[in-house]
Amino acid sequence: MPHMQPPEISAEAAVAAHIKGGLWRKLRGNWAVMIGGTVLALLALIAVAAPWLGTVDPTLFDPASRDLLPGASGEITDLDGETIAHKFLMGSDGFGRDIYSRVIYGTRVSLIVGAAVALVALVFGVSCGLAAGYIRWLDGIMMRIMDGVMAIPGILIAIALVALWRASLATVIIAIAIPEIPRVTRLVRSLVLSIREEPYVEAAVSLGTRTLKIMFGHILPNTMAPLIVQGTYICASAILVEAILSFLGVGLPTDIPTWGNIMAEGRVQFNDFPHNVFFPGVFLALTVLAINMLGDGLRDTLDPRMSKRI
Amino acid sequence: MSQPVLEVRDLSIALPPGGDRARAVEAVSFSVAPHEIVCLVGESGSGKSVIAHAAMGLLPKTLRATSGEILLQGENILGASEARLRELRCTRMSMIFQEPMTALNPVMRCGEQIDEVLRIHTGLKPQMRRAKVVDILKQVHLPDPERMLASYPHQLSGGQRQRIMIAIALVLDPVLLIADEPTTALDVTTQAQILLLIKEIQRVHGTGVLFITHDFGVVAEIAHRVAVLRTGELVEMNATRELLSNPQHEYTRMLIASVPSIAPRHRSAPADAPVVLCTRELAKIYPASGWLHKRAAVHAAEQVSLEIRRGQTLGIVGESGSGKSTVARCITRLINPSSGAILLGSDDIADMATGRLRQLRRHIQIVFQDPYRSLNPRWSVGESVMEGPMNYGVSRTEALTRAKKLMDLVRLDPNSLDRYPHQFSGGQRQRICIARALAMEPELLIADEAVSALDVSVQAQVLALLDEIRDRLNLAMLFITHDLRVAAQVCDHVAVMSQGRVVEYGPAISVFSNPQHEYTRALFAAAPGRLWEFGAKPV
Amino acid sequence: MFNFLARRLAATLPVLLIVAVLVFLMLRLTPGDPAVIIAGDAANPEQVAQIRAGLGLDRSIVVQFGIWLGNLLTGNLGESYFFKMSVTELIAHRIEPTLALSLCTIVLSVLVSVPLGVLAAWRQGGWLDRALMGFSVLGFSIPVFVLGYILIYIVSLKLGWLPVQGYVRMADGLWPFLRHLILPSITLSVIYIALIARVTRAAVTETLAEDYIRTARAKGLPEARVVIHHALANAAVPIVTVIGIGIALLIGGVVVTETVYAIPGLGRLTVDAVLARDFPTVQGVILFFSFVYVLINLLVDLSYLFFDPRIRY
Repeated sequence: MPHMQPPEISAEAAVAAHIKGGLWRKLRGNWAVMIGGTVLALLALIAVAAPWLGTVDPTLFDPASRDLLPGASGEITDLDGETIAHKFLMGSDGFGRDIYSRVIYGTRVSLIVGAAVALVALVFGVSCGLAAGYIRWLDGIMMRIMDGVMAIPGILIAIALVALWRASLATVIIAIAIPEIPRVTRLVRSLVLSIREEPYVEAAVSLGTRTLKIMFGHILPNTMAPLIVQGTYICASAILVEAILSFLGVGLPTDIPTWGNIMAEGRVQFNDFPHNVFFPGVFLALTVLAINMLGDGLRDTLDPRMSKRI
Repeated sequence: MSQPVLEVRDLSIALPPGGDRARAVEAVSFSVAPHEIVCLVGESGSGKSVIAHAAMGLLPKTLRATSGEILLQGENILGASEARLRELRCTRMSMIFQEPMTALNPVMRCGEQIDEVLRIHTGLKPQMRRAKVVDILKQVHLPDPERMLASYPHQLSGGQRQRIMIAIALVLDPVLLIADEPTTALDVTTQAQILLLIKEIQRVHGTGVLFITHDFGVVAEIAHRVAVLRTGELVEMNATRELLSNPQHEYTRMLIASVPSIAPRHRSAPADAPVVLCTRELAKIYPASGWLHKRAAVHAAEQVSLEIRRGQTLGIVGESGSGKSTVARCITRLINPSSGAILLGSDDIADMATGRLRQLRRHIQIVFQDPYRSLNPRWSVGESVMEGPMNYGVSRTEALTRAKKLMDLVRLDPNSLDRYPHQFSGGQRQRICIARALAMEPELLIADEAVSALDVSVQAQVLALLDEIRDRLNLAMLFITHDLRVAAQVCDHVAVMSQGRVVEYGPAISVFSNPQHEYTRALFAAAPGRLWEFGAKPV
Repeated sequence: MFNFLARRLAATLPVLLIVAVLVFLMLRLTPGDPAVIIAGDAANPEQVAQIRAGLGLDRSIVVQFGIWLGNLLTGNLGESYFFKMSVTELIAHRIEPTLALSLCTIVLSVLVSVPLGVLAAWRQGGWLDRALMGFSVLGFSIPVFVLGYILIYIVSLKLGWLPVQGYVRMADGLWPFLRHLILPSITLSVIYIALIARVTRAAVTETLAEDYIRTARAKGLPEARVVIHHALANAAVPIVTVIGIGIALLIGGVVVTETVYAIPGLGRLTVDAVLARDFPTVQGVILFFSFVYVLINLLVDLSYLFFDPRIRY
C-alpha cells in the first residue's frame, strides 16, 4: 500500500498563513496582487472623487469647442447657460464634450458594472452549484440547462437581451451576468463533488453532522478561494463586455458616459481624431489589466493548486 | 575482489533552506558489488530515496550534492554532464519506481515504450529491436508478448505494469539496477512475484541491485546486505542475517522491534462476550450499467456474515479489491448495502431511514487511512474533536472537557486543541482522529487501514494505543488491513476476504497457524520475510 | 469506444434542444409585448398586429414552440424584416467572410500558441515563460476593438502596408483576399493565442510533473523527445478542449472584428440586425452560431478517441 505523502506544502501553508494572520503579509509579498490591487484602489478612488478632479458635468457640450486636441483650451456652456473657460485635457469629441470628464465619470459605470456582474454571477452560480452537487435528480437537469446556456456565445446572449429589454444599468448587468452563471455553477459543482469525497467530510457524516452544516461548515469555506479568484475574472470580463456592447451600439444610452460609449461615438472620426478612442481605450485596458493581474496574484497566493482548475 | 558496481563515498546532499534540517543526506558511504542486492532501509525522511535519485542524476533542482562522490564502475556521476548521464541511463544503470500505475506513459503502447530505449541507445534495425523486446518480455514472464507489445498501460494490472518497467530497465543489461520501493504499492501476492522476478533476473544477469524499502520483511526476503538510514545518516550496515539477528545500533534495534511478528498473539478473550454488531449475508452489488455497452455488475461484497463482540477485535484481511473496505463503509452506512442485514444490538441498520439512523450513528465510529486528509485543514483540531458530541446536543463546555480528556487518552497535549492539523505529524493526526471517534463514546470502533500510511515505529505506537483503548473502554473493534503482521498482532478473530467473499473466518490463532482455504495459504506464503520472527512480541 | 461515441452524440442532442428552447424563450419572455418591442417605438398599431400574427404570438406558447421547432428542423428560419429575404439565404450569403476570418485565425493561433506554451512550460520561470504570461494577461485585457484600431492606426494609416478595412472574396484574387484578412486575423487571434498559450503552458507543466516523465528521463531519452512525445502527447486533451471552448470567445470577437474592419460577414449581420430590430435574423444567427459551437465541441470530444487510448479501449 502506498505511503501517503503530506499534501503539497502550498495548500497547508496557505491555511497556516491565514490562521496566523499572515495572510495579509503573504498577499503583500505577491507583486501581482500589489500592483493590481493598488491600481484598482486608485481607480475606485477616482470614481468616487470624480466631481472634484477638475471635471465638468459629462453631458455638457459646446459646439464652439468641437474636436479640440488634447491639452487645448476652450469654452464650455454649463447647465445654467453660463460659458466658462475650460482646459480640455483629453480633447473634446464631435459634439464639443470634454473627454476627460467623460472618461473620469465613465470609471464609475465600469467599476459598478464589473462588481455587480461578479456579485450576481457568484450568488446565482453558488446556489445552483450547491444544489446540483447535493441534489442528485436536480444535477442532471441543471447541468444540461447550463450546457445549453454555455453553448450560446456570451456576447450574443448579452446583445440579444439588451436589445430586447430597455437598456438601463440593471438590464445590462443582468444581461452580462447570465452567461457567466453556468461557469460558476460548474466550478462550484465540481468543488462540491470533490470535497464530498474527502475523508474529513465522510468523518463528519459518520459523526452525525447534518447535511446543511456540512455544506456550510466544511464545503463552502474550502470553495471561497477559487470563487474569489473566479469573481475577479468575471469582473474583468464584464467590464470588457460592457465596453463591447456600447461600442456596437447596444449598450447603455449615450447620456450615461461609459468608456465603450465614448469610443463608439468617436470611432467615426478615428482617422483624424484618434484621441476619442485612445484615452478611454487606455483607461479600459488598464482597468481590466489590473483586475486580471489581481486575479492571477490571488490565485497564486491563496492556493497554487487552483491554477489547474481555473 | 572485482570493482564495485556502485560506490557512494561520503555523500552529502543539501536541502533548500528553511526545512527542518540542513541536509537530506549526511556523509553516507556504502557500495554495491556485482551479483549483490543491497537494501537501503529507513523510515520516511531518512534520505534513502534521495540517494537513489542522486545515483541516477535525477535529483530535483532544489537538492544539491555538496560533497562526496557517487562512482558507477569508477566514474563519478556527480560530476558527469547531462549528455553523459543520458548515455549511461538504461545502458549501464537503470531505475524502477514505486508507483507502477503512473510510471508508464498512458498514451504510448507498452512495446513502444520498451523499444524507445533500444532506439535511442543502439543502432539496431527494427526487426532486431522487436526480437529483443519480445525476449525481455519473456524474461519478465509476461504472457503473450505479442499482445503485450500492442497494449496500453491502462489495460494492464499493477503487477504487469511493474514487469514492463523491469523490462524497460533491464533490456540493455545494465550493471546496476536501482529499485525505489517498487513493491510498496502492490498487493502482497503480486509483491512476492515481483520480488522473485528481481531475484531471478539479478541472478541470471549478474546485476548489482540497490533496493530501497521501508519494509523489513522485504529486506529479509531478498537482501544480501542491508544499510539502515536515519534522517540522512547511515547508522548501521551489515550482511542481512547478522543485522536482523544481532543489530548493533539502538535505532536498528528499535526498528526491528517495531515490526510486528507474524505469529499471532495469544490473548485470552472470553468467548461469550455480547455481540455488539453482526452482519448477515451483507452484500453490495453495483449493477450492470450502460445501455449500449453493458458494463458488468461488480460484486464488491457478497454473503458477508461476521460477528464482532465487546472487548474483542475482528480483523478483515484482504488485498485490494477484496471488498474489505466496502464492508466497513456499509457498516458505517457511508454507502448503502444492496441486501443483507446489519444488526447493531437488535436494530437492523442496513436500510434504516436517515432520521432514525442518525440516532444510532454515534455507536459506530471509524478512523480512516489517510491522516493527511481526515481532518478539515481549516478547522482547529479541537473543533474537529468536538464536532461529533455537539451534533447530539452536548454543550460546548462539556464537549471541550471531553476533548481534553481524550487528548490525554491518546497521549497528546490537551492544550494543543487550538492548533491546526498541519502543525501535527501523521501519527499525531491519526491519534486525533481516534480521539474524535472516541468522543462519540461508540460501542464499535472501525479502523480502516488506519496504520497503513504510518512509519513502522509510529505504527507500533498507534497499535499499542488502540490495544490499550480497547481494553480500557471495553470496545469492540473492527480492524481492516492488508498487512498480515499487523493483523496477527491486533486481532482476536480474523476474516479473510477475496473478491468480495469471506473465504476463511475464525480465531486468529487457528487461521494463522493452520489456514484452510487455498487463498489464505497463498496469502501467508507470499508474506515477505515470514520466516523471520522480528520483534514486537505481543504481551 | 462505441459506447463513448453514442454517449457523446446522445448528450449533444439535448443541448441543441435546450439551445433552441432558450432562444425561443428569449423573445417571448421579455417584459412587455414582444410584438411592440420588435415593431419599435415608431410603429403604429397595424404594424404591431401584423407582427404579432406573423410570429404566431396569439397562439398558446406550446403551439408556438411546436411550429417554430418544426420550421427550424426544415431549415426555415423565418424571413428577415430588414433585408427582405429568408434568413437562411441571408446567412448563406454572409457566411464566407466569417468562415475565412475564423479559419485564418484558428490556424494562426494554434500554430503560434501551442509551441510557445510548450516552450514556456519547459523553461518554467525563464524569460520566455514570464514574457508569455505577461503577454497573455495583456491579451485578455485589451478589448478586441481597441487593439483593432491601434493596429489600423499604426499599420494602415501611418505605415500604409495593409488596407484599412474591407473584404475581398477569394474568387476575386487570392492575394488581395489574404491582404485584407491579415490585420483582422491578427487582431482576433491575440485573445485566442492568449487563452490557448496559457492553457498549453499549464497543461504541459502539469504533465511534466507526472511520474512517467521521470521514467522517460531515467531511460536517458533526449529532452526534446521527453517534452514532445511524453509530455505534450498527454497534454493534448486539455489543449484541444480549450481550443474548442475558445470558439465561443472567437465568435464574440468575430462580431466586433467584422464591425471594426467593415467585413460583411455574419458578425456584422448580427449587429446590423440588432440595431434594425430585425428579430428573425437575430434569432437565426444566434441559433446558427450556437449550433456550430456545439458541433465543433462535439468534434473536439470525438478527437479524444484519437488522443487518449484509454477512451478507445
